[in-house]
Parts: sequence; C-alpha cells; structure tokens
Amino acid sequence: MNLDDRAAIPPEVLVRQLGEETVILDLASGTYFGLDESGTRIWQLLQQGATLREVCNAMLAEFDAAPQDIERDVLDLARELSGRGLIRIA
Amino acid sequence: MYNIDDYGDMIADRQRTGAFARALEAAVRPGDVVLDIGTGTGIFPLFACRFGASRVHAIESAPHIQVARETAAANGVQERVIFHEGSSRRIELPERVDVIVSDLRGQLPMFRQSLLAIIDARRRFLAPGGRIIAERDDLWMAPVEAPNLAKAFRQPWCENPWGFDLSAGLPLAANTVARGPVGAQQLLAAPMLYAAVDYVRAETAELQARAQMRIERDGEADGLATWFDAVLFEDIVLSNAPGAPLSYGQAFLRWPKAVKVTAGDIVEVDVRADLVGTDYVWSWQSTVRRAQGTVVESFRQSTFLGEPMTPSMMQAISSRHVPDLGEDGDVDRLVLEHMRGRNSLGQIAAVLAARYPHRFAGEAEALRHVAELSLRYRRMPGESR
Repeated sequence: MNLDDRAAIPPEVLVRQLGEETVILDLASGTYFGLDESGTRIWQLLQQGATLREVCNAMLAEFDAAPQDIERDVLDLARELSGRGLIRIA
Repeated sequence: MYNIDDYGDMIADRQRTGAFARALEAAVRPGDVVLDIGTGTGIFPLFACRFGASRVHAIESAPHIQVARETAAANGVQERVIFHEGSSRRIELPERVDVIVSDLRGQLPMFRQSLLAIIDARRRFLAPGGRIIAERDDLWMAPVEAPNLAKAFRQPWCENPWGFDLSAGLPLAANTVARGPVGAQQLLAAPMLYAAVDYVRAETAELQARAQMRIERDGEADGLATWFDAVLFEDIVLSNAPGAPLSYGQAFLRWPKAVKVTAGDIVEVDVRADLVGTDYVWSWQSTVRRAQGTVVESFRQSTFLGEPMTPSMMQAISSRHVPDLGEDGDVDRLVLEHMRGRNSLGQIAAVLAARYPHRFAGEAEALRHVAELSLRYRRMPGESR
C-alpha cells in the first residue's frame, strides 16, 4: 500500500453515519466496525475517490496534527480497513 | 413471536392450511416418521397422523406448544406426537425422519433464522430419500404503484400538517421493508422470477440476486413488491402473488419517493438478504432507466439504514469497542451466578434487593426480575447438562 493508492468500497459493505461517528456493517461477516471523528473523515475522503496522499493533505488542513502523525494514522486505518475487507486498495 | 390470534389466522387461512394438508397427504406414507419444525399450536402433526404417520416429532420454542400438546390429546394422537420444546437447532432427535414439514416464512422465506433451521434439520434429521415440505420457494418481484402504502410512510415525515420539519424520520421509514397487501392491478411490469430457495439442496441462508423488469404502462412507481410461490410438494403450490387471499401479505420494498415511469422504462434491482445475528438485513439498489439508457432515478437502500440507532449504540456494536458492563449487566450477572441449582428464586431476590436497594423497591420487585430471567434462561425439558 502506498500514498498513490485509492480505495474502493465493496458492495457488501454498508455505512451509516450519525453525527461525527460512523459504523460500517460488513454483510459478508455480519460484523460491525466503528470509526471516530477523524476515521469518519478519512472514510468520507476515500469514498469520494481520493488517493491516500490526498486524504493526508485534506486531513492536514482540517486537523491540528503533525504531517507524519496524519500519514501514519491514515495508512494504519487504510491497512486495517483493507485487512478486514472493508475497502479494496487499487 | 406470534400470539394466539396470529395462530388462529394461519389455521383459518383455508388456502394455506389446505395446501399444507394436501402436501402432507401426498408426502406422508403409512408408518412414516415426520418432523414439524415450528409446530405452533400443532395442526400439522394432526394431518400427518391422519395420513398415516406412525410418529411425529413436533418442535416449538413458543409456549403455545402447550396448546399443541392439548390439541394432540384432544384428537387422540398424544401417543404418536412427541413434543420438543426449544429451538430445533439445539434439539437432538432419537431417529431420522422421512418427512420434514415447516412453515417458518414471513412475507418471504428469509425470515429470522428459519432457513438456518430448515438446512440444519435436513442435514441432521432427514433420512436418505426423505421428503421436505416445502421443496422450494420461487421469489418474484415487480415495481408497483402503491400510493396508499407510500403515503402511509412518507406523509408523517414530509407533509405533516403541524408546520415542523420532521424529515429526520424519513430515512428510517424509507429503509424499512413493509408488508403489503398489493393488488395485481398495482403492478407496473410483468413479475420477474429473480431467485429460488431450494430447500432440498440449500446450503446457505443468504440471498443475492438481480432483477430486471420492463415497465408496461405509464404510472408512478412507489417501490417493489416481492412475494413467493412455495412449491410445497410435487405440483402443490402455495402462491402469495398480489391479489392472492393469503394471510402472509407481500413484502414491499419502499422507494424514498415516487418515480414517474413510462412504458418501456427498465427497472434494475440488486437485492440481497444477509443474516446478521438473528435477523436479516435486506438491501436493495434500484435503478430506473429510460429505454434508451438514461438513468432517471437510483436508490440504494437497506434495513441497516432503517434501524433506529444512537451514536452510543453504534459504538457498542463495533468490533473495536472495549465494553464496560453497566449496572443492568451487574444485576443480571448476580442473578445468573446464583442460578446453580441451589437457591430458590425467593432467596436470589432477597440477595438482589439487599445489594441494589436503589433499583428494587423491595423483594417482590426483585423477585419479578429474577423470575423473568429464570424464564428466559431455564433449562428446557430434555436439555442436557
């Protein structure tokens, strides 16, 4: 996985946002996965087709955090989502 | 799950009960052993005995099984019908059976854990060469003009007469699978057979299918009706098609708004039903196209989006959540820890009332709570330790 990758959301993944939080339902496994405020924003950007680099840049503009921390958080979350089958990296 | 009136309605539905009776007559041979999953108040075992069954195992988790026992006795077959109280998936039978009968449908066969129960029973209990009633459910779909059904769910949230913005309720209402009835005259396209549930061979309880229908007349489509034709046994079919006088009612997959359609338009639907926990999540993605391909409307809906939910509930079900037991949990844990075959409910209630005086006004109130838990978690007759 690298910063030029984009994510696709499989059809068996359903998403529900309430306020600043999100819960993702994976119909394949019947399990739920929660995202906090920053995770929700990362998910929105991925859903819009942004590359991981574009996600990092947007997060840097919106959240008060160091660039290396944002990049680590974005990549960690993308790896976890990918590992659980909630996104497909392309 | 069902009350006595529901069972009464099912028995009184002559089309339904008559079709199952004919199927049992055709499938049961003299001396057969029959299994009835979800016997309810126990009418199928009576038919099975009438048609020659030597023994019927009747399974029911609802307390109405007592009515079934008394009914068997009233009809003189109490020696031939063996009742099993509980979930079929947790019950062991002493023998293989020649016929399995069940009617666990809602408006559609994907209803709670019914398919899992049938698949499990077929694998564990059906003798080689055995028969299943029903053998198959064919699933049909058509776009429908159903202004009354649509108005009933849209109007409170979109057009209320009180001058408030109540639109927050619409996404929940629009992502709910409702119950018909839908009449044949309300169909906007010829029905499409989009899936079949083959009970003889099914290995999965999930559904995933695509339907494509061509609009046959101009109108306003409010959503999709879907129903079953149950092939009970050989040529005996129970159809729940629009207009059929059956008690099940058709399922109505709503659209969030009415769509003007003209003859020749194409309606494409990707539909799936996934068993999540104890019930199904239904998802339906609908696209309406003009004949030349222009997309008029597209909706992606799911009952997952129709469940009332708060942010704290969302957190509580997430796989990443680290749970912390609330006081309700502490109370129930204390009660369950005392249910080890040594203490009476009264003794447990005394402990509970003393430990949580701010929750229970006295031992009587604590006893009511302990009794509820005792009912829910009691060891069922025949359940092994």
